[in-house]
Amino acid sequence: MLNELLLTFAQWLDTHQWSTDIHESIYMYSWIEATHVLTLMIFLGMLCVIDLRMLGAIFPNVPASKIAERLDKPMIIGFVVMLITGFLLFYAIPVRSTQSIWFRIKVVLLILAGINAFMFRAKMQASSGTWDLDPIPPKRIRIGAIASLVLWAGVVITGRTIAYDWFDCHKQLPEFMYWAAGCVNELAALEP
Amino acid sequence: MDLYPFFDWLDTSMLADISKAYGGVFAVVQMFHLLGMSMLGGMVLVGDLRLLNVLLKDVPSEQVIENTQKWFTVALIVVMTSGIFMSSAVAMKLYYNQMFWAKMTSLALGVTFVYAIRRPLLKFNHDTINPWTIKLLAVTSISIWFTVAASGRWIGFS
Amino acid sequence: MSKQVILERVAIAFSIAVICAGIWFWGEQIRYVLETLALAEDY
Repeated sequence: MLNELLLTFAQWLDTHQWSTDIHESIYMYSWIEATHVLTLMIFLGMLCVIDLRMLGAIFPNVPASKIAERLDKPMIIGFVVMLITGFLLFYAIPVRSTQSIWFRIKVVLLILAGINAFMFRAKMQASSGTWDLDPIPPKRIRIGAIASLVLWAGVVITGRTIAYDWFDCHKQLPEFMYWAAGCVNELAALEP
Repeated sequence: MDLYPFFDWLDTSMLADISKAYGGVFAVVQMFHLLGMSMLGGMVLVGDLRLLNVLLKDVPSEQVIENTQKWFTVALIVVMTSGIFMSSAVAMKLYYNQMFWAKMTSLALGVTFVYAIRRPLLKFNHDTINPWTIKLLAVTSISIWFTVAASGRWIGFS
Repeated sequence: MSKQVILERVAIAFSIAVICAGIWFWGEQIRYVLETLALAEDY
């Protein structure tokens, strides 16, 4: 089943020397983590400006497509850094991350945010001629912008809560939680 | 000026009672701190990169600065409010933490810089300001806010 | 002197001071990190 597969993959990553090196390093893990958090200011910062324009709350006199276009590059640069540092953080502590309910929710939200962004871009390409110069874009665009902000806020929030051990596998949790978080061994131990 | 009495008071205040009692409340407030920080970063970067002629070159820099200003202030209020709340939870630990004071110093410099120098200066037509001064304003701004953020994160590691 | 000229001069002075302070501060951090790593090596 998926949980077993994910755990086996994580345990395999855990055997890598580099994984241990980062995890046990004096500074490396902290620097990667700090870069991950600080790069939020670039990635989410740019996204914030773009989404606020889509809500008509900023730069009302600049075409929405221009804002999206121009801020795209720094945003993507920020996103790539987030992905790389994020992967390294996961790689350093693979088993706990895989079995973290917050990490799993974060990945789901990331995928949803990605889908939302993709749909958004398609919508924008298709219809930008009609509302591009409007200070306040049409409702469907505004909804897309709010969805974007909510999903990414969710990514940030769940990312932060990974560090808390409220729902870690070693805690007493309801069976459903063991399943949701992929606590394979604890689930097996519950079997009569 | 000895701030010990203030931190001592903060550590046992009602605010501290709330922030220390529930890890969940602290966590939620910290989320707002992170999200506010992201917005602050975005507003600072879009403004400064425009001043450095890197981004949005075909939008007048006066317009870029004017538009990012309001949301910068909103973001600043969010981070400062959430910051005070979080500080109350660990007030005495922060008082003795070097990184915390580095952050507060940078923050004070940043706020002074933005509201007493940069904003009033940039209200004038940018063509009439020495281009190197404009670039200097941008570099200073990025340096200060980077230092605030980085030293802030490092509090957690020190 | 106009307000703009005063502001410009204050901006330049303030910026240079802040950037120097920043270089000093981060220089100290880098020095501390290198020292710690060197100590770890010796250990």
